[in-house]
Amino acid sequence: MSVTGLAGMYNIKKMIPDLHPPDEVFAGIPAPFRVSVRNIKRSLPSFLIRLECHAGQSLVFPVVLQNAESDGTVLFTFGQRGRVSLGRITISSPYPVGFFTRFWSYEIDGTVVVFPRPLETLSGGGGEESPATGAALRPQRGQSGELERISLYSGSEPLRMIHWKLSARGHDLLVKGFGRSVVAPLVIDLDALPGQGVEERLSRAAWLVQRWVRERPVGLLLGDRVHPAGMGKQHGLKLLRELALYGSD
Amino acid sequence: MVAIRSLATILTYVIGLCGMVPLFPWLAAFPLVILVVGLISGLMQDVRGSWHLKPWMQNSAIVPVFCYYALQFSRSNPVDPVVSVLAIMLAVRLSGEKTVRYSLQIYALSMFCLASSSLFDLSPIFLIFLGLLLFLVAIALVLLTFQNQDPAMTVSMADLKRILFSGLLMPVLAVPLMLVFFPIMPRTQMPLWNFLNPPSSRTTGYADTVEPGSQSSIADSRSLAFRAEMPRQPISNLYWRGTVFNRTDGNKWIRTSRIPTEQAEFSGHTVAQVIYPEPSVSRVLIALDRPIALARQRVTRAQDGVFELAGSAERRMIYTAESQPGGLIGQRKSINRQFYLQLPDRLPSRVMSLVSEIVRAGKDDQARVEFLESYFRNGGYRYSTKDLATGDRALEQFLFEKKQGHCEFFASSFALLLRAAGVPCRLVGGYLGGEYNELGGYYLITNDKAHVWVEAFIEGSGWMRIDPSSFAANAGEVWSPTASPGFRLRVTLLLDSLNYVWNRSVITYDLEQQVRIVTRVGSRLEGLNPSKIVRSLAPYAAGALLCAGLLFAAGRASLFSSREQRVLRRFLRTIEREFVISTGEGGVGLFEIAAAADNGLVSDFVAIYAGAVYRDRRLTDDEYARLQQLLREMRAPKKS
Repeated sequence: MSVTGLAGMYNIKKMIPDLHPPDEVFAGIPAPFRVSVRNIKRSLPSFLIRLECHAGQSLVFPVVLQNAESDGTVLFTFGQRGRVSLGRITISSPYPVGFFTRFWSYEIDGTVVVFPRPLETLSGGGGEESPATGAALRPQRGQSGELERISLYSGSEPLRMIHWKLSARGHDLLVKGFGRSVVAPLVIDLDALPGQGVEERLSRAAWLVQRWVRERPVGLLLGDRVHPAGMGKQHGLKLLRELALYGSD
Repeated sequence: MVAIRSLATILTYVIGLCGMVPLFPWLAAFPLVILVVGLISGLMQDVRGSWHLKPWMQNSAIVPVFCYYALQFSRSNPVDPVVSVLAIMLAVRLSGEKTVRYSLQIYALSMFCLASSSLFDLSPIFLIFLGLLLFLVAIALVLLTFQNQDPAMTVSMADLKRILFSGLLMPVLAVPLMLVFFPIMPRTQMPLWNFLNPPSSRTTGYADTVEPGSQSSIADSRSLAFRAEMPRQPISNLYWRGTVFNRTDGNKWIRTSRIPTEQAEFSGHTVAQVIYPEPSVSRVLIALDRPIALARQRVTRAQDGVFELAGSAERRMIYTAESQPGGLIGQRKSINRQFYLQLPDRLPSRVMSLVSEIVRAGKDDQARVEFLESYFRNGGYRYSTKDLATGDRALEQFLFEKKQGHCEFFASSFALLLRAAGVPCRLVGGYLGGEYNELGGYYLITNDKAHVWVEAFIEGSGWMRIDPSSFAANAGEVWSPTASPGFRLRVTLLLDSLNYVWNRSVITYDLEQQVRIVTRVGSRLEGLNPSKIVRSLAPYAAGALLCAGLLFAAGRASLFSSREQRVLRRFLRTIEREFVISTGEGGVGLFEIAAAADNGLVSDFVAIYAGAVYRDRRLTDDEYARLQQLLREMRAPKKS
């Protein structure tokens, strides 16, 4: 009994668990969190390590080698938007003989920002229907659009813009002039979104951000605060974060 | 990948076998058959992966069996029903599915079966099976824990090896603890299982009566009678005294308990022995002739020097004895001669004429004994265990016709003639000789060494040991002291020394021995001089400290590492502890650590450290001090 007791105690010693949230966590939607445990013992592996996170989700690692890390994924679902503490992880193991289960808890420092639950909406805010893609194209110089004109080489254009075929016919170097497709930015005005209550409007705004931020500039109007329009994943995360924390600061 | 469950099932069968195999020779036919059938049917079902016998069927099958054997249980027959029920329960469990719960039950039943086999035979083989069982159960329990977590769990071969290794490690670590706990755990005076011990059917080699002529031949029994731990003795001293026979009817010698007072006078050197007798129905305790004292509770000493146990000697025991060898015991006063001259009413005429010859030849006890000795020596008597004289006139036949017989013939006739010639004497039953086991430092005495000799009282000297069998013409051949032990005997002695160690240190280890050890340790501690001990141990302690210091230094290379390495190691430890960021044993870059920590102190540290070390220069004293300051701040408790 003494030996099994000591073995059980040492088995869960020097085990450091960690929780890695994904980039996007929406309220009400299961999000895959990576749970890892690192065995910092020098010479002995640990057996049957069970990691239990908040709300009872758990993972079992049959063997965690010494000086090594094992990880797995658990699905977390948060009910509310906002900043949520990652809470604690309980490490337990019935090893070696299953008569007793030893455990200890590890407080995970850090929080995760849970975005509002996305709610599909057609309105882009500001009281008007969201324009269909292409309806609000504005001609601008660029390199991504249609060939719009041929002009004389000024010396500043990149070499690949030179229209070699046409230039060969004359004495001057001619360059191709392209247009650029630009979509009108979508500025989401929270107060103008349809829905009963702030939470529903935040949900619709979150949906809009997620839907459009990769395709067109999206801005946000939260009461007095204005977030300028921008594109890309990072900008989207920034806006969603603002929506998640709306009203809490 | 290996399925944990399959491996656990295989181990369960092996554990079941470990429990049942030692029990096989002792089981009645019915439980034996059930056990074999249960094992085979379980194996077949496990191979197929389908179990036809449901647990409720098995449990209901056990109930009538239990009731039947419960009715068989009685005070006189306690073991067989218990063992049979255990065996059948094991068989039933083996025939079913090996769930975690049932596997645990199989382990427990196997343990019980093995333990119950010890009621029949407590040989070192038991220890082998017990050791095997403990190791296997330890590994199986670990596997069952995994199976309990997930019955379908599979692990890689490498992981399985690690799991098995860890399972093995536990009993290995437990063995030293067991060796510590075994001698110090409190013992009961009586074994707890004693009530289940079957009455011993063994008897010692010598009987309660001496009756030459009752059998035409006797068979040798090489079974063990006792062991005596003592220094080697001259062969002429190896007479092991048991009981004394003091009344005769001419053919039969018996012992009467109304023994006249004697005052023995012991002088000369004594021999101490520790005797380990085999369980026996006889209550007589044996020791080297002649025992002076015998240390054991509830032992009575008769006037004629016979020691008897008040209770039964049916369990293993141990006692110490002190003896005075030599064969002559002086007496302070004369004895009750009349008591030791008792004879039957009539003696055969041929015997009477020999007696008158003795009386004529010697005037005193000594002369008469010497005459009879020479009569026996020159009479052409032979020692034999075959073709013996039988019937009422057996002694007369032995003396005058057959002239061959075993020790009982020699001793009985010699004593009869002495008594008839007026010399007080008695027969002594015991053992003669024994094999000395050099390895264990003890004599091994088997039942075929049983012997009877004569003690004659010589006025003025005392009781003198006379072994008439040694006067036989072929005595030298029979008790050849020069014969060197053959290979077989050496092997036997080697095996016996193992058995002896087992009996001595495990089986006979009881409260009495515990108390003795504690007393001995206590008396030794009293005589200790602390300052002397400290002085004698000081060099060892210094050596040990030096070794420990070297090991510590080797383990902590930081003692010999540079200032930069030391401060970096401290930094990495701090980061792991305070920020719970894995530094990968230094494998993660400092700037990555700084980014992950997102902490001003960490960034400052990294900037200073990298600014120096990454540019191939040593840290200045100021930088070093600053880095230490930063480390202190990082470790300082944070205010919430």
